[in-house]
Amino acid sequence: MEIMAILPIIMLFILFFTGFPVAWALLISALVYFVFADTGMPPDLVCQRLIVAAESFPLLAVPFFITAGSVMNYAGISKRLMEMAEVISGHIIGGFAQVNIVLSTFMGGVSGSANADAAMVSKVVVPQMVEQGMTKSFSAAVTATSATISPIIPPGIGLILYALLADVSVGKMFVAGYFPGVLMCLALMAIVGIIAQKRGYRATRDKMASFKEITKQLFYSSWALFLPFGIILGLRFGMFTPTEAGAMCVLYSTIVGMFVYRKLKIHHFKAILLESVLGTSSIMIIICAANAFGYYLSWERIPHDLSNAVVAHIHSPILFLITINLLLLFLGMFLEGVATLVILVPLLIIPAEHLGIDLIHFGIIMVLNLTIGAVTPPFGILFFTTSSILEMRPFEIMREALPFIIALILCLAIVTFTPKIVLFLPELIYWE
Amino acid sequence: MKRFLSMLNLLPEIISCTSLSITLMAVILNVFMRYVFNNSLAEAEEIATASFCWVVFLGAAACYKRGLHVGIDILVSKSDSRFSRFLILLTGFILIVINFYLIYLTGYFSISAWVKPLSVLRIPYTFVDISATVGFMYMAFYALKLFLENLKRFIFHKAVADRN
Repeated sequence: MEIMAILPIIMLFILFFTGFPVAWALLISALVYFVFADTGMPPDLVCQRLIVAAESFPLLAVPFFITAGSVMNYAGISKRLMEMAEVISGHIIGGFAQVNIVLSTFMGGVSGSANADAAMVSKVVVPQMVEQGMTKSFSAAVTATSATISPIIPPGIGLILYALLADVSVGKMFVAGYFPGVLMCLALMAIVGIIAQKRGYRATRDKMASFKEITKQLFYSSWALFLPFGIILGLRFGMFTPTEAGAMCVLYSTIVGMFVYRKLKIHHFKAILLESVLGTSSIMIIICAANAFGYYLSWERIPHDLSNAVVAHIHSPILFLITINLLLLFLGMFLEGVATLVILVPLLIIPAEHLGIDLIHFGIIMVLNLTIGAVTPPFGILFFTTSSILEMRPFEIMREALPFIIALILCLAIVTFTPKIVLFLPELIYWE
Repeated sequence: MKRFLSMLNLLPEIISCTSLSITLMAVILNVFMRYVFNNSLAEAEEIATASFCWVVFLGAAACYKRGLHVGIDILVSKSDSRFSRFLILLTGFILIVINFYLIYLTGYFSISAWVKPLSVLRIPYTFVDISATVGFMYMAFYALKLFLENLKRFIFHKAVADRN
């Protein structure tokens, strides 16, 4: 292989580690290739790939679900979910730490972004955890690691992206995320239980909430809890496309916030739009740049060569999945999740399909891996989000997060070796 | 003049937020038309995707202004060594060069799209593609501003070190 063929990949890593924003690192690497390599293609091809990615109608689902999450925060839906989480898990040992994890699972159904979830929970639940006697570092570790559940629960942004890149059904990816998300929730709750027992962290209530209280709270939160099911039903019965589902979510949460909970006011929309634009653009510019970088990969036939190499050396699907898990966990320690997803999905689905691995199962494994990458040292983005809000050093959180990370990796192993956990719901709901 | 400049500074936020509203309304209206009048709007999809380009590139400029673009900067931001300060300057300089180069490339690409109309709206693609040029113009300006601030800090820091 010529040096020019791998130079962009080497450059990409150097630029990542010298502080370049991810999108620009990808763009510079692609530009260097098309300017200096003798491809015969003009460098404005990079621009074409950059702009074309932003002209994709299916990708509109990304800003819509981000906007819906933002509307719900202002609409008081997050507060209702917090109350619901407290009612169903407050009696378990570990109190607010358990509430924190259940809330992240619920929030997954409305925001789909781990960062947004970590930021919200850091502000709302962590002060109550500290007041209950838990250390700040433990509270932050629970917050950062439980935020990894959000992207797995529909409508996670990673699930949408994978579905578009691998050309599989967004609806199937959505329902496939439920059981792995619940599994992660239970595993993290078990770890909190063990640590709480050792350190004497109490429950928030003496006994389990009564049936009447649970029903009452369920009724209050039903508008928020109904949302993910509404999306899945709409997609399943072909009422709307994933993009339209996102837009309807925004409309639904606006109506609920303004006319049912009466918390959402007209003056909130300026902040909602700005938050949504910033959240969307920081992700989308990476997707656009990764699309340009992907063109270099296809030009050099790297996906094809990689696929041939994998198929020649790895004959077992299990061995392939173990290799992919190790590779993605390693990359997740250093690279940003969205960029890794956009670059690696086209590279890896060819050999995965060749080895007979279900692409929905493979997608959940990929998204789960990259989400865990957000809480693995040294560059776990969720540690930086929580530490900056709670004004502490990321290293303090990393130490406390270790048992939780181990639990998440165990969940990944279970999901990898038991495809039924992922495929049961899609097979049940999409029965044809 | 001051008001005009502050308006110009806020333009990425204004355009991107307005474009997001248009994108949303176009998609919602299309669903509404399909279910209520049994008639889809062919223009809705084009309006939505064209506006989305403005959301992405002008929104990216708004993120640039706030330093919100994801990057692994802890290697340089946590250390205050002379080398890391030099690295920040070098990175900033390369970003200025690349943003100006991208203005040229996207500008050329947008102008050449004048003869290519959108399939339903029949307006030239230039009106969509130029969003990238405008976005990179703002990003080049913010990169230049940040570079000058860092340069001042670098020189000042050096002057303090020399005095000590």
